[in-house]
Amino acid sequence: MTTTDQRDSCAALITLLRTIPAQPGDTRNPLALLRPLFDGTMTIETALSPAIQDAIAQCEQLAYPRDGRGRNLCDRLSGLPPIPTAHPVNGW
Amino acid sequence: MRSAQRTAPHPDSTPRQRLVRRAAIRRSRREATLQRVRSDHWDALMIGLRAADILQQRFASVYTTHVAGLSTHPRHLLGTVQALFSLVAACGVELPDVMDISANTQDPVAALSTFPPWVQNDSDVLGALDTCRWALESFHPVVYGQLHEVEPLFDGGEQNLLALLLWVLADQTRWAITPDSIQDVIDVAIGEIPPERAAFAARIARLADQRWPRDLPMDAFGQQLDQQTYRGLNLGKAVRYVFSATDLPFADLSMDELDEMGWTGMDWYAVDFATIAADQAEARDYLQHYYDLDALVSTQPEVFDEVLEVLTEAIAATIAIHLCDSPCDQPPTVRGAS
Repeated sequence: MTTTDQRDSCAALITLLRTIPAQPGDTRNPLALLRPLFDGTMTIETALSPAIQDAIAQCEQLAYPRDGRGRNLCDRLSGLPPIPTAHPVNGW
Repeated sequence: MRSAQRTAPHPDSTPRQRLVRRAAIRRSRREATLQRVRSDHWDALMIGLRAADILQQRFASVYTTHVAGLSTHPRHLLGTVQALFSLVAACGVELPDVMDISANTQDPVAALSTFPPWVQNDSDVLGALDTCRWALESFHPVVYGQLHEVEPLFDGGEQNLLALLLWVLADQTRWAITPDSIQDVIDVAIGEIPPERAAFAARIARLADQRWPRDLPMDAFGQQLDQQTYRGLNLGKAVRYVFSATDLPFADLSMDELDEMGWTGMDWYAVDFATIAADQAEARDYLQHYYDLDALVSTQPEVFDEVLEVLTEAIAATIAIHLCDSPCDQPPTVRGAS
């Protein structure tokens, strides 16, 4: 039988735990960071974030350690503007 | 918490045991990573993310409004690829039609969630993404340039006799298309022509004696032909297409040349889709003039003769103009010119 005091202390503990910022399960393992990517629970925006892209690059480097050529699918050229409004896509 | 319990050293373990345990953990992680990275699922995810990344860079508003918040479920990623292709096609760019996915130029956003009938389950989605891989890794809009390989070009002997006619005539000029012996080309082409089309074989056999002079000013000749039509078709366009002299990448670069280049493709992030679309439209026009004229030349022996005659007259006119422009030059001599 749980006493009121015990319930209160449990609730206090839960509250305390909730104040701790969420941490990845294992920061040394990039694959762990990518789990939501495979589960389909990560958003595309998050998947394109530098942290996830770095984790992807680390995994690919591990799997294709020579030079990674052909595998760096998410390499990007940053800073390129979108198509100018002078050439709008039909219907948009 | 659980992770900490798993990795904390056992109080009784020796330093060596701890090292062995850590090594085992590292090995296990490495194997898990290898298994994951070398999987169809991984490849599919990377293809979809690449499409999303291109969308973010090139179609920012569509990306922000419709794509960024989607989950990384393969179905959404396939939709992202479809939306990208739809948007690029809506810019007028003609993409290869070998990917069996659903592009929608009228409503690119609808392509995010509309799939071809054959895509029923997750396995189909992964397969569809795989078919898009090469298009994303080596983006190359449809190329219209003519093949320069003899066998496939004259396969069956019922088409491309216009190309053969021009190749032979220009064999000694600056526009000569083949480094091989032109007689070998003629022999192969004649060998493809069926007996009932012997009239063409006889005409082709005579062509070698009517080759254009080595010093024929080809640019001036091209300009002369640009002004000349035959049965409503622009001879300049047809001839320039055959000799890859249009200065248009999609008309001048043949598929076999692209193949030799290793299909390096274009940069999704940097190309100007509007320019590509305009070049493709112009290349299609060159192709059409060639295609329609060839359809006549390759099927009607009398048209073969007429085109040969028109070309000979154009050469005579070119030489006459050339003589007026540069009276000190030696006039090119035209064999077969009347």
